[in-house]
Amino acid sequence: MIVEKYRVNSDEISVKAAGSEISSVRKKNITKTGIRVYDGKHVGVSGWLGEVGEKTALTRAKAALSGGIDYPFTPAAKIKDSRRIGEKLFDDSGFILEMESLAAWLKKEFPQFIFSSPGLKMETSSVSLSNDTGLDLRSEISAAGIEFLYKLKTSGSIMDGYFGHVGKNWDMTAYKNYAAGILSAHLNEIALPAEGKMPVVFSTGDGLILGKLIRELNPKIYGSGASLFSGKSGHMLFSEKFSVFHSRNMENIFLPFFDAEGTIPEHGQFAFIKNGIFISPYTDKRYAAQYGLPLTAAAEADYDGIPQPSIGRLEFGRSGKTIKELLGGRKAVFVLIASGGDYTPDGGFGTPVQTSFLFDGEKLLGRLPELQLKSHLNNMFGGDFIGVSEDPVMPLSTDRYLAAEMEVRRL
Amino acid sequence: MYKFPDNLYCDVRLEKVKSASISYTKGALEESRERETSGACIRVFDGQRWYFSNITDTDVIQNEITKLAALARPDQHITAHPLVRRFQPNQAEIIHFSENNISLVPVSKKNDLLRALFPIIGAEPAICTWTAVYSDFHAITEFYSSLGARIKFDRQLCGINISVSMASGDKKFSDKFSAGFDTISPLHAIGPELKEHLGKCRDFLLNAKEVVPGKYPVILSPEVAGVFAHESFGHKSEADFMMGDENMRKEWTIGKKVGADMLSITDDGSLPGSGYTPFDDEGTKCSRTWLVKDGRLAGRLHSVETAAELGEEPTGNCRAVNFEYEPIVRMTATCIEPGTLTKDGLFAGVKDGLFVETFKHGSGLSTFTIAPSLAYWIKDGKIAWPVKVSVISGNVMETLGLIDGLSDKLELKTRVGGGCGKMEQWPLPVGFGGPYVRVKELSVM
Repeated sequence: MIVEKYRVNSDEISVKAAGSEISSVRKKNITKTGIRVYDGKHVGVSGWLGEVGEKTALTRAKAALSGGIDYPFTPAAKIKDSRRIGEKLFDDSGFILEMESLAAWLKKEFPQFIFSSPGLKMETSSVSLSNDTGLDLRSEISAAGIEFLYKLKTSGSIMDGYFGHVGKNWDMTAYKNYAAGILSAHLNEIALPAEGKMPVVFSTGDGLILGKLIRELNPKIYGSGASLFSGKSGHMLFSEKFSVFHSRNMENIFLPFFDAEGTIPEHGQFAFIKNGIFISPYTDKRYAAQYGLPLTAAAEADYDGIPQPSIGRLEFGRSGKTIKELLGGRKAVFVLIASGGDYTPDGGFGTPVQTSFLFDGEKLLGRLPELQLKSHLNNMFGGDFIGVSEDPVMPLSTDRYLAAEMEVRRL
Repeated sequence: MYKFPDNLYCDVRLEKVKSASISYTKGALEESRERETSGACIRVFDGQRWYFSNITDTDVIQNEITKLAALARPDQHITAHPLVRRFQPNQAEIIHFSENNISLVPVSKKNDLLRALFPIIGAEPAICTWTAVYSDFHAITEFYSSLGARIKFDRQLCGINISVSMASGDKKFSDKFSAGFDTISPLHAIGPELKEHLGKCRDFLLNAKEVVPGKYPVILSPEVAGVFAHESFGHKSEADFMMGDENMRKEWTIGKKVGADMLSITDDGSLPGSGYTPFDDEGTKCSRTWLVKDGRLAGRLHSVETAAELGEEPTGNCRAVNFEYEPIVRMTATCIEPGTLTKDGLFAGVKDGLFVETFKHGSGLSTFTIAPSLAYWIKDGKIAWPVKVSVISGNVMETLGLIDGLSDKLELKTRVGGGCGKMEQWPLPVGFGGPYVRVKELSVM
């Protein structure tokens, strides 16, 4: 019998803004631990919050073995690795002062807007996975998440846009410049130059356009034959410029370098799609074995749960060019908020765009009216795909620009 | 129970939650978990700013109160503060689920309940893969405040979600069946409804045509109407969005015409199901709040803080997703009130249009959106054929004014495993519902 411990801790300070003022401070330090027991055929899991509960959890996990959850896989063993990124940028009072200063600057420089934030955070999150066969993996990530929502005082909407950054570094000047770029552009209403097909640019952190891709890469759906990609491994499905990776690169994704089963991908990433060729869906040990697929280190679990396959954070093959070079002198629609859109079962895509800007590859030129976008999965990452930029969306960010041609109309 | 600091407002919310989750994929057990968690959220208010702490060790609550108080600036007039004056020092114990407490049902019985549905799923030939999940929780909340509030109440939900993926040649379709209640016995009777739903999914897979994009009359099922009310209007009614926003307050004056005369929308934490909570998470008693009455703005959803800011009274809508978060303004159960038409009469009024039966998700800013799952073309007042639709959308305020028919029965929906997301807090169980709702025109893509 192998006993394994999976421990997750979040230590954070969070400051909330409402009506352009700092309204509250929250301190949180919560530890959650799970005990997994493997007998070579089954797995049993139980967990607890806080510091006390291991003995009871072990008893419950052993009892849960008889529950019959198959797990004939060998837990990761004999790997010892500990990695850390980031440092605590401020002490608690320093962080509060920095955020008060930022909120005051926004209020003074952009009095046309009201700013709020669900939480301006500084957090250290730690994950460890260890067992009695020599596995000892630890990940510690210290990062700040500074995101503001904004709305024009004259707007009837509950929010008009946002700007934010999640990362291990902090540069007040860079952040202010980024915010100023968006806010200044928002104040400048301009017309859509023309309806029809044109470049549309998203941040690679935007989940909307990736939703269908993520669904079709689900191993349960893929393996059963119900995915658009089923049976097409090795086929050229998209543009040769389009590559998608599952990344465990902590510096880029701010997630642990190992998955919930202790798998560490070779070179820190696995390619689902490489140069347009579909390779594999994401997998954990169960689904890799069940369907004869490569193991992609995509297991995620609640602290007291059984690992399940989960897409995690995607990274994209970059073009080697800036977004300005990719656009080649053309103007594009940069999408800030496209809420509520989706795909049809066979890949047709449509969405309203609530907030977007005309973009020349360097500067947001002005705010466009509400739009609607239309495309298809095969086109937006196929013949209409333009590329992913080398330059980030803002200097502190790991997100890049992703551009594709789409049908653009006024809403 | 606790020694609260002088010249500060302080409250403590403790939660004990027992939950169960059982998950199968294609008949193979993947998860069977029983969980017990407890923790506390402590709040201190000094008249200027709030301070929060969230902890798992409830033995150190008194220490945390002291630590938070040290960050705050005491105010000898704190009890006269307009915000503090609005707290309700309720004293009550409402345990609604003692006889049918879901946590007392053995997990083996819950497992049997779920497995009883497998033959129905297995009998559907178009299904390639499926996941069946049973989940429940029973939560006990205790609330204590420096004003003398002393409250204890419970909440409970249980339900089953079945996700299916179907294929026939190149045709693919995925959908979900959900059934939720606040006691377990109704779950024994959902088999026929599941079978009917899977049949509809197969029909959709085999026969759905692409919709021609355009603007059409649309009928929303009660489930979709509830989501529409939630996304298009419910979030706008959450008064924290008006904090520091003079323009919004002028835009949203009580009595303003915001929709068709037949339209009324309510939010009510006393309704059974996902949105049930007898008190909110700052001790305010929940009740029915009219958001829209006969087409006019009638009320807002408040915390004590937003009520004080706007000079109104709290409504019992300050909720947190769990003890790890401070409460913020949230909905409970938001419904469009029924009208007078029969369902057939409502459909009869559409020559060419769309019926949206189920949805994948929705959102609401100035434009609301709903991503349909099962949708059908209406021809000459009857459901004609299934259609594939990416999204329906419309300007919120225009759409509320374009509602021109409501059926005469309210259906309230309860879901488990998902819920409403706001800021960083997801998923909060909420209820939603309505009658069948006809909108003169919506954009269909």
